[in-house]
Amino acid sequence: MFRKLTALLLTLTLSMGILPLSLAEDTQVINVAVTQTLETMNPLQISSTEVSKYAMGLAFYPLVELDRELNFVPQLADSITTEDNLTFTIHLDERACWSDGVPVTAQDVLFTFLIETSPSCVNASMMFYAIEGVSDDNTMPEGATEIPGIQILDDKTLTVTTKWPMALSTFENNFGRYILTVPEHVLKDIPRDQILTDPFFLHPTVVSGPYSIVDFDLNHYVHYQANESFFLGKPNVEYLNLVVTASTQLLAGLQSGEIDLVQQTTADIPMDDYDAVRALSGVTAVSGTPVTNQSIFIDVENVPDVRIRRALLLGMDREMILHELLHDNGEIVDAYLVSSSPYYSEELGVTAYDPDAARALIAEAKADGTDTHLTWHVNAGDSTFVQAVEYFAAAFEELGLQIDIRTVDLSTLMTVADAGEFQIMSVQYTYAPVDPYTDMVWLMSADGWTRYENEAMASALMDTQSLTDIEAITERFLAAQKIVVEDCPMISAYVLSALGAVSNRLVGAVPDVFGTFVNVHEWTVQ
Amino acid sequence: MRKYILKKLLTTIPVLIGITVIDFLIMARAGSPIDMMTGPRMTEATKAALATRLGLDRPLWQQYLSWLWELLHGNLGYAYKSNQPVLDLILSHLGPTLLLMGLSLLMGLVIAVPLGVYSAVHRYEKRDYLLVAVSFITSSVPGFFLSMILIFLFTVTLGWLPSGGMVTAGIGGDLGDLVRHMIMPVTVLTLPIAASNMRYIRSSVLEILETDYLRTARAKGIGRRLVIWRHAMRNALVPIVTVIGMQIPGLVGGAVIVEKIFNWPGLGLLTMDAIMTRNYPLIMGVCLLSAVVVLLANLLTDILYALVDPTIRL
Repeated sequence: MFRKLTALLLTLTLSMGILPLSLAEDTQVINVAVTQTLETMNPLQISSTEVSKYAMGLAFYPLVELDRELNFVPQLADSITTEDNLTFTIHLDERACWSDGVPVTAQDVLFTFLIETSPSCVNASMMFYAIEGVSDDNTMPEGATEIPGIQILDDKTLTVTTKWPMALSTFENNFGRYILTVPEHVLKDIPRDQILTDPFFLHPTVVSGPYSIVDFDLNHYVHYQANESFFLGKPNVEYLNLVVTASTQLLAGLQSGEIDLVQQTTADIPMDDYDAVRALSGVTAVSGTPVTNQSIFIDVENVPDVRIRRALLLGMDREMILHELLHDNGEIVDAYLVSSSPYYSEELGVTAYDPDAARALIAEAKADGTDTHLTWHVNAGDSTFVQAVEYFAAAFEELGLQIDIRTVDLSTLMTVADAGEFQIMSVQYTYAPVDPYTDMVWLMSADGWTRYENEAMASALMDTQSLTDIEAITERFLAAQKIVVEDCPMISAYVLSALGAVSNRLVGAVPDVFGTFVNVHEWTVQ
Repeated sequence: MRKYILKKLLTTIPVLIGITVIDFLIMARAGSPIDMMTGPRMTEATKAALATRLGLDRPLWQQYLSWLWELLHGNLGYAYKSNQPVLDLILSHLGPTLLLMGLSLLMGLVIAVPLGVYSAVHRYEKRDYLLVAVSFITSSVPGFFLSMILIFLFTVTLGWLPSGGMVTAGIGGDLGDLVRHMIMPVTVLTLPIAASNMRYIRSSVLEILETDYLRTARAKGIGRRLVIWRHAMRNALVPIVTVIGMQIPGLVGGAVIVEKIFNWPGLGLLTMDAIMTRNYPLIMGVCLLSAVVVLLANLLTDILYALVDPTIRL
């Protein structure tokens, strides 16, 4: 009896098992792998994580988006303009409509701003406090029906006025890309305090983007189906899936054909697999624009001696780390602007590795009684940089600086950083190349992680927001960066060029740090 | 027995409350969820507004009582950020975990019982040594390593099985599709369960085989199969039931690593993610479920004792 049962079970198992993976090659399905779990699929709770933004943006179209060349291209809005860097005019595409046929209007955009600034919503990732009339806690009074800084001009046009000058690229990057408009005609009757938990956001019935959300599990997948009424034309591929995958499984998934696309900011191919991915037949590997900055932040109140901070910059052999650990997949820059940024200036150059100068600075500081025993908090999840820090620590010990490494999970690292309970901490940070101001003005401030204050730098950064000439802006960023290099509240270890990959059966998709999904409706499957 | 069960159920209530209090205190010490929900550029005023919306600005005891009050009304709250009902989230992930872990436990026992008895009956023979050696090797191979080997073999090389998920993304869902997705994770989980249980069963049966009453039974001419399966097994089952009872809570806890590697939509990963993001309502919901399952598993074990051993009276 037992033998019969075993035989039956084995036969059943094998017969199920040997069925080919036909669905993986279905021409109507695209599988996009992501390695981070999604925080939410509620566009009113959007945060700055790219994976959530792209996942929601497929259904709730942003106003504008960056393309691969770092230009803002139209999405729901066909233009965002300003004449004084204070009032921004958003004009929606005349064709933009919801999947139920109702036009997307300026009133929808205002409604979205109103909900997100409502005290019962409190989106703590968006800078609404920069808009005229919104309080410093990012909210409007409960039940507000208008925002003083937002005026509707007509069905398709509205203006947003900010409290202080803001560069157009800053506005587009912070609001244009991250305001995901929701349909007022569907949601207007829901009480504000119940809107976040409304079932609409679990199964959105009306969308504006190329795909509708069929089903999702934030830790595992999002299933989409083409939006037949998409105003730029129904997507060529009927189904699209975002599949949360362990990064170690990306290679196997690409090899087996289960994964069609791996995009650089939403999926992290392990560096050890780069060569294997590049060697795969039927897959095109794409090195992304170097953007992700491995930033080292120094709390200047805890490390007040600038000589020690300078010694850290001079004593790090960054070129060696780039070559040996990153296999040259990246670049070295000083401070925060990457070479692909429109504001990058070669004049800044790169500080050369100079251990002798570092040793001299450390000895000088030590002679003056400066503590040369530091702690360095590192994200345990970034194994490459943990290795790099171990190397740096060993090298600095020879130069006279003792460094204790504390590897902690990302959550703890963020808590430590916010509380100012560190001396040195490092984390991968993506400064939008078109909008470095927003992050830097905060990071290099008394409220920021570095607790560094410098009037000249703050002034240079502020100037970038009121100027319109790109050369003048570049010059002011250069001035600000020179101060960063001189005082070293922040050091860039390297800028990572992440690898993306796309199956050759998927035509029209090019994985890159920005712009991968701007033409998703035009993708086809061979 | 009914009285015993009722009494046992009533005593679980204060235990449960105690567990939730301890969970709540530990969770609150781990750090504020606000840090995980705000961008780096946010003002303190915004953080305060968010704390007010989530009720995190109140004293801890008030937060706990509020959670308890909602629980008594059948509301486990909403997950932070996603705003999904915690109860729905748990229920939707519980099924896949029970399916994966339950089938693995069942398969493990189906393999372990006959092999354990066979090994005991043939003790100190080559086949006994072989089975024990295989069981040691099987339980020593790390799950993630075996997973990788299986994926390389059956997905990458042969292309027979999908590497992850519960059904084919978006359009799968029939029984065959489900089975194909289950083969590798169930295999990875079944092998160590089968291996460890086989050794428990072997030693338990060995002990029973030495007893006088079995020798008497054999002397009376009762067939070997009847002696083993009717007389020996029943007594050998008592310690085995204890071990199985201890494995039941694992059904709910899931296997985080295996779920992660095979992208299985179970509770293990959900819990892990909730902890990493300090998602208080979700953490409390899962802790409550785990506590209930552990207490019920203990009760079930006690009842099974009585069933397999009539000398035990509840």
